[in-house]
Amino acid sequence: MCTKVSNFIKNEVFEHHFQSIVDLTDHTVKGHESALSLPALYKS
Amino acid sequence: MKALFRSQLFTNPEQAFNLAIKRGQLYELDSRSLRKAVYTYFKTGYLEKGKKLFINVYPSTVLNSNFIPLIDTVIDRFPASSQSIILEFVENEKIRDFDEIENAVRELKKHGLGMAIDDFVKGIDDINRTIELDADYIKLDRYFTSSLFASKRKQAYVKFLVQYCSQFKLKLILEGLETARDIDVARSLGIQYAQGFALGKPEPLALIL
Repeated sequence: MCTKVSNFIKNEVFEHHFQSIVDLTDHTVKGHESALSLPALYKS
Repeated sequence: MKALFRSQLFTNPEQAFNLAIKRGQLYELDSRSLRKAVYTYFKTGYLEKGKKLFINVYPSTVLNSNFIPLIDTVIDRFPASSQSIILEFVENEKIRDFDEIENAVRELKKHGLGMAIDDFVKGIDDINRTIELDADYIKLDRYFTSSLFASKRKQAYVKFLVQYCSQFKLKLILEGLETARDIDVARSLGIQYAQGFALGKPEPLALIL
């Protein structure tokens, strides 16, 4: 098992996926059509 | 952009890293992962557009004597990466000596790198990290996003953190946005940066760029 782990690391048997981090002040980023005001968020 | 470790040999990244920890090979895996993420990303030329690349790193990796030379090698190969890499300290390794980490962070910042606290508040020393470390970003765990629209307490806590980050010039990133409503709620609370399926799924770089 130890050798197996070493080989996994040494041979870099992994990759990376990438996910966007978005600036929400960019108005091209869409939420709901109607903007919500903060008090309306409270449900109780 | 956030780099996320994937391997077909493991169900999730934690399994791979936990195994490496048990075998005493955490630094080797973590450093190789970081290098591979940067090389994968930068080979596309995407970093030259001024975007940031967020990469997870264990605090103990940053303290390893081989880490700064590794960063030097990465920057030598891709000079623009020095202003683009943001190291996210993972929350599942306790920081035992903040002075030691702070010295390492100071050195890395001289190289142009930025720092983020990941998955706030999952870690046991997250509060200490926000106070003791000269971080540039705080990433709020998806715990806050879940039912955020309905929870006064979560909303109040997020608003406090928005204010805290504004006061100390930290950037706040909310993780785990999965719906358009999550985006609206985040905006309403003053969140500027966010990550989640509603904004983009994790994918191979070739499918994104």
